[in-house]
Amino acid sequence: MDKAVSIVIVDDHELIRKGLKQVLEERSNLTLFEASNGKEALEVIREQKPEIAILDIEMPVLTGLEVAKSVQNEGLSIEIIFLTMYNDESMFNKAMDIGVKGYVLKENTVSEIVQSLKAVMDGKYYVSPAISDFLLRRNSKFISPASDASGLYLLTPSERNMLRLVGEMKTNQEIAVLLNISIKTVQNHRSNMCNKLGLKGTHALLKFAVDQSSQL
Amino acid sequence: MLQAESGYIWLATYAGLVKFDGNKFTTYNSSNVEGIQYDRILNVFEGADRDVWVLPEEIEPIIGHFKDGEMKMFTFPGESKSKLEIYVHNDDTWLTAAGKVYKFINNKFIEAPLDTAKILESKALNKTNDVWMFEENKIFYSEGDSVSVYKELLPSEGLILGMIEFPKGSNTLYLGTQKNVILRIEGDEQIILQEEEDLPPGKFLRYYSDNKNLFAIVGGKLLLWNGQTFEPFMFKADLPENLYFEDIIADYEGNYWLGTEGDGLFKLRPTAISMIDKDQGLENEKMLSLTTLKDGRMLFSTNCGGIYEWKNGKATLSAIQKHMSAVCNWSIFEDSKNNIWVGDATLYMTKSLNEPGKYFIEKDGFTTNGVRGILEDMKGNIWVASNVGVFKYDGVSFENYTSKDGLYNDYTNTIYEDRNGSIWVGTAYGANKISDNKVTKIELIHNVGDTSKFSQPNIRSFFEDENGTMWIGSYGNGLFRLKNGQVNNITTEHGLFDNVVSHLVLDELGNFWMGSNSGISRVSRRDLNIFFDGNIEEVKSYSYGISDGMNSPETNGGFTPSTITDSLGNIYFPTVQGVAVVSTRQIISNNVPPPVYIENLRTVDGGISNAELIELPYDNPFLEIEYTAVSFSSPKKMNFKYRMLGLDDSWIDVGNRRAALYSKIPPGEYTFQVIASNNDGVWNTTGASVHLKIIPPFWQTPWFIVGISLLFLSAIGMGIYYRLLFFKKENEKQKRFSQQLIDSQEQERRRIASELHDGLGQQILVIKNRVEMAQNNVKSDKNLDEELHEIMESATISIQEVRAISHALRPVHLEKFGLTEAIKNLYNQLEQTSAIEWINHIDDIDGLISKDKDINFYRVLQEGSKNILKHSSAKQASIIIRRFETEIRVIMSDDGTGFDLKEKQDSSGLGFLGMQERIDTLGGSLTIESQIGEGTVIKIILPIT
Repeated sequence: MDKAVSIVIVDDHELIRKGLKQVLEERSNLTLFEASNGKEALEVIREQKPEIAILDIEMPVLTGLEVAKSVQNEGLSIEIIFLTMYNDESMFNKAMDIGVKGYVLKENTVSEIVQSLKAVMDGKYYVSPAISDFLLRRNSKFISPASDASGLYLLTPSERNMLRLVGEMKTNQEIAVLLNISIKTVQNHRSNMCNKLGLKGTHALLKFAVDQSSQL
Repeated sequence: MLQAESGYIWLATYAGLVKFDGNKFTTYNSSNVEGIQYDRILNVFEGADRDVWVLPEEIEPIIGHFKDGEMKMFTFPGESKSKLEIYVHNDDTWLTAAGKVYKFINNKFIEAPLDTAKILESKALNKTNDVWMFEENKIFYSEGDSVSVYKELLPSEGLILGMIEFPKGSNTLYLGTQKNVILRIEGDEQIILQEEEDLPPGKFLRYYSDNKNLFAIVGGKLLLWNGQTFEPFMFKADLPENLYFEDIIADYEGNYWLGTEGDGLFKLRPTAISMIDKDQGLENEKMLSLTTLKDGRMLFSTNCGGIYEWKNGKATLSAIQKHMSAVCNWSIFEDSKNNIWVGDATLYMTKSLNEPGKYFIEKDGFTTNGVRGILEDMKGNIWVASNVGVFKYDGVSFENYTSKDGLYNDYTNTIYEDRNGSIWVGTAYGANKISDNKVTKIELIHNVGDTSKFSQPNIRSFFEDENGTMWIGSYGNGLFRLKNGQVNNITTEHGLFDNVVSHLVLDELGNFWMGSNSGISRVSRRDLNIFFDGNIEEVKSYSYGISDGMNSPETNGGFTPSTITDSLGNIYFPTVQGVAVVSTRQIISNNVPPPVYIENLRTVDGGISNAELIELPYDNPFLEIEYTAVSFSSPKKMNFKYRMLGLDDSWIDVGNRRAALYSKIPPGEYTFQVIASNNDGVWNTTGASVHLKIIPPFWQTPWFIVGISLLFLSAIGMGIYYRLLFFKKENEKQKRFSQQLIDSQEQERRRIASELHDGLGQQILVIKNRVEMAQNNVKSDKNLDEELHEIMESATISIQEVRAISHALRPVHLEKFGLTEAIKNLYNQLEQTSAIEWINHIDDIDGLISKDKDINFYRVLQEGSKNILKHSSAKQASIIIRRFETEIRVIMSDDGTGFDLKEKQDSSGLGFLGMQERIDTLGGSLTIESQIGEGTVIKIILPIT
């Protein structure tokens, strides 16, 4: 790290704050601020305008997520790295959604924090290797499936009607009673539909029916 | 807004009428109350019958009467120029509408005969009981059933928009008009107090008085009457900027509620402590010694920031500083001859703040390198506590007392004169007393054998009360009492807030105020005496810190003078971030026992109306009773206890939970009772209750049993029947018990989970990170390096284990992101960790299941998925959760081995019983279909209430 950078360290556990500070103080060229909760953090960010904030997520008064949101809302120019106990996909996604640049697990603080700072200063993202799976899955979610065309047009009106009932989570028995047909017929219809739609198994049809319920 | 006699706060909003108990808002509008056509409500009143009146936003004169859950509208002839108003006087409800005055009699509004001749002012003003009203530009005055015009404003003054009599019974009226004029009418006198010229007309909103203060709201601004004029009300709270206020009320616990336009509701809690800090001009906030001058000014000495003068709400660097070089001042004192004394590295005295003074030096007979206490005794001698013992100065020469004379130590800081003229000296190693030039040692801690000086406490404060009892505060050893030659001691072990007692001040009510490094605290002297006399086990301390208004909880102590008590009962404490002013007269513990109400009763058939006696059939699967207690100061700190007399006569302590659940109550008569306490532990022991009658099935009614007995007296079947009945009863008892267990279990799990995750987890990772750092520093030693690596590895595993345990105890997502996300996360994890292909569709169902019960739904899904994972050998499984208009439907199915329902029904191995119980608490149904080889389908239907 060559450039002089100012960083605010925010954690309600003093031991962690001090430990982190110790790690970072080995690097010169860093100006360090500290805050022990989200509210203090926001004050420091607003007044001192540090370039990077290392934020714990679980904190009293305001959580790290809330701080990140405020920072985003107020348009403050600061990069945020979450340093957290949460090895958790939902939390990770929430963090990424609000534009956080780094997500570092607390257990890897010493080895990763400097790396993450470097990455973030270079305008890159940094995510602890232990949770890189989350990132992969997150990216794949944004790619919509190629065969989005539903194939509903392949179905006959009576099949569509039955699919609607399936989507309403009626059992075969209930559908049979409703349509005044035998259970066997219901089963036949269902397997026909599966064939037409290229679905395997009863679950897949149910899922299809539910997902398409607005079209039926 | 208003706080009704019941305790509830009612709010008029654009989305309907809202009831608030401190914990929950309940909205009444066209979507849920019959008779409500108007959701936009402008005002809310309480009538004489403690019923609620609402003013909808309508042009025609119309008002709604909300009683017993129904809204009835009343319309009035004519056209309204003013807003309708309701007034209450004793048992009468009055109303002004469309230029007329009405009285509410027998559920009808009767127009009151109007005496248009102005009544004699003297006559009006002799009475103090009847009610003042206004309409358009007239002020009315009621007398019995008749109403007279008291005054009429000129049309040029515009309509009256608001009026209040303040103080109540004074016949002094404050009015707000359309022209934004605030005026006062007192007999014949009519004074315009203020004109808000920059506002558009008609911006006057309302007055509010809590009998102490008079507020006016004009153009969204909140103004406070100061006796002469209305001035903007200054908040010490961090409120968002540019709030547009609509209303203010004080509840009877002393909180203020502010209604805003578009920004919701704010609560202002009076804090006991205000700060004098950099906002008031203190460049240096590290306060050491405080003193009051005879002219009323105060002087604050700081740790190396000089001395400040405090006057008229402003702190300025004192003129004394022009003539005095030292800025690190540990003591500041004025003697009876108005000389100012300063203690720093040495001793300084000046006749006036503006004149140069004199440093005392060796040739005066004074040598030290630190003065921490200055005091004048009754005879006019100046006493100085220093690093080299205590000095007495008689105006001519100094006399020095040191350890050679019997002081425990030469390092002295606090000094105090008792009413006999003895000087008490606090040293770092014990307390001494000097009387008649003789030093004696006070033995606070009794030492057997070797009486080493180190075993006496470091003394920080003295206080002698009017009974001659000496109280001594120490640094680390708590508080001591010296009474009739006896020494008693109390520490945190018995309820003291802190073992550091740097300040010791007795307030007018007999409470000791103490300062420590972790906050200011208060303990009743009476309690302390009772404790020392052995009659109670511990005392109750009330502590004050940042949330009570302090910048930092850390006080600076051990100097003399230390604190100031002013004539208003305020105590000034020096802290590391300014002077903390404790308004002891405003410390009111919340003595209001909270009114308790049973709000809703719910069975499987839905809500039932609350009545004195509730009758339920024997086969009703469950009864949920929602209750609340109204308190606004700190609703989260309230506690509830309930019991079902006839079923379980002992109180169940349920903390802050506001619902009780009973299932399959056996036939009989019961009384459900609930009591509550407020945040300060004041209980409403009467509470609320409801009587229940569970009607027995026909075969349990006495006549039937008698009939049967006669007919089949000899039948062997009878024996079997009673056996069955016995089992049934046992079974029901078990079920009821287990449902109560579910709730308490979840609470406990939540607590342990958060302690594990936030407490233990953090500690372990500190270990790990520190070891990693150590490892980086000792790379050269290979064995040590390996050893450290091992420690790190095991710390990592520990963290993962803590995380897993805590997660299993209480899914973090449920609290952080809500039910839907938690379920999605559950199936995401299953997809990644199991070989089964999971198909899921999960609608957004957040908010459909009450927050304290959503865990039950989550656990059922968790249990069901676990079964599929462990027992089904399925290839594919699906979870579909769909939201329909009136219910949530869930299908959990797999294509696995299935099982014989009959065989498994009663076995708890698959946890079906637990799932069933949890779904019962949600008022839903759960069905299982399965056959060997055909997979399993679990279907859940939950009604949306």
